[in-house]
Amino acid sequence: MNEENEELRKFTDKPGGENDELGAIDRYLKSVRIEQPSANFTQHVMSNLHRASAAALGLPSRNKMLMLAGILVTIGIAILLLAGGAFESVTTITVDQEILPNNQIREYIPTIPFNGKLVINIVILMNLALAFMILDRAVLKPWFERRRHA
Amino acid sequence: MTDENSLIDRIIAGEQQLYAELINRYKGYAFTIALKILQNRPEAEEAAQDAFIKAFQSLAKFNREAKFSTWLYRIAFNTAISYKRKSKNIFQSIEDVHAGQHQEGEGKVEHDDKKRFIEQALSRLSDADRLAVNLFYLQEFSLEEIADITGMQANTVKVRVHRARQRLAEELKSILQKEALTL
Repeated sequence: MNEENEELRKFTDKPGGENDELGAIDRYLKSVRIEQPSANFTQHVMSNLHRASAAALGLPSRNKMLMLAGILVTIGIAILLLAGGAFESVTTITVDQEILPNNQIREYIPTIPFNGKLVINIVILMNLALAFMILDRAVLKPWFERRRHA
Repeated sequence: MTDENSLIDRIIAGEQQLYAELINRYKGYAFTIALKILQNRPEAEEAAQDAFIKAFQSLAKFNREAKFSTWLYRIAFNTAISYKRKSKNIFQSIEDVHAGQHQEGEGKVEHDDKKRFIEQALSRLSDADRLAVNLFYLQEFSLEEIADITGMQANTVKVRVHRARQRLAEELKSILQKEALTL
């Protein structure tokens, strides 16, 4: 790869390039030097490091904690409703009445049984999985990271 | 390299003030990378500062197999790219206007015009191409390092630098032709 570096550098080192434009571009690009930021650059970064320090300490972010709390509250409410029997009855979804006129479709379209209890149980399980992932990323991982560096 | 690694170890261990040494060592290049992408000094300075803060936050995760500088420049490159995505507003900083005004009237109008046209042509390149060309001509970076910073393959960088040069020439030619027509 060093040979390739040299090869490309030699190519761009051709005096004047293949035409005037290339020559001008080569001369300009070779004249470009490292730019320097303002004098208080370092000071500014150092004074903002406290922001980074808080993150490095692994303090869980407010948004993640709020999200976790929200999910746990949702799970709690769903469990309470479930325990209270709010989803005991099996509902059916009927599609062959009113929506579709009978003279167009001759065949009977069956009703779809809708088990609310099962759906809520699935939602609770999915929320639990999500809550565990957030707990892991927002609390557990930073906590173990902090312990490792302590 | 060993010095740098021990310095990083001390910073991770809690000697936060030592980070200033790393900033002073690499701020020029980090700022230049951000500037080549953002083409605006205040924004580039902000992006470079942000890159140093991000690097500090992830210092413990820094893989010692790579050079610290390459890792940092990659962060600077990604930060500058995300800054550019956030603000698509192109504005010329007051500082740049002043610099332009000072240069005029010094009998270098023609030279300055050519420089302006080349900069115009450079601004038409993609961010990655512009940075690759600039880093390559700075003579400090190998193709592999440029590849690490920009997240491309070394061979891709080589092809890109070559093509970008050709495209720059074409762009410059078309700009000069347009300028000649407006005269």
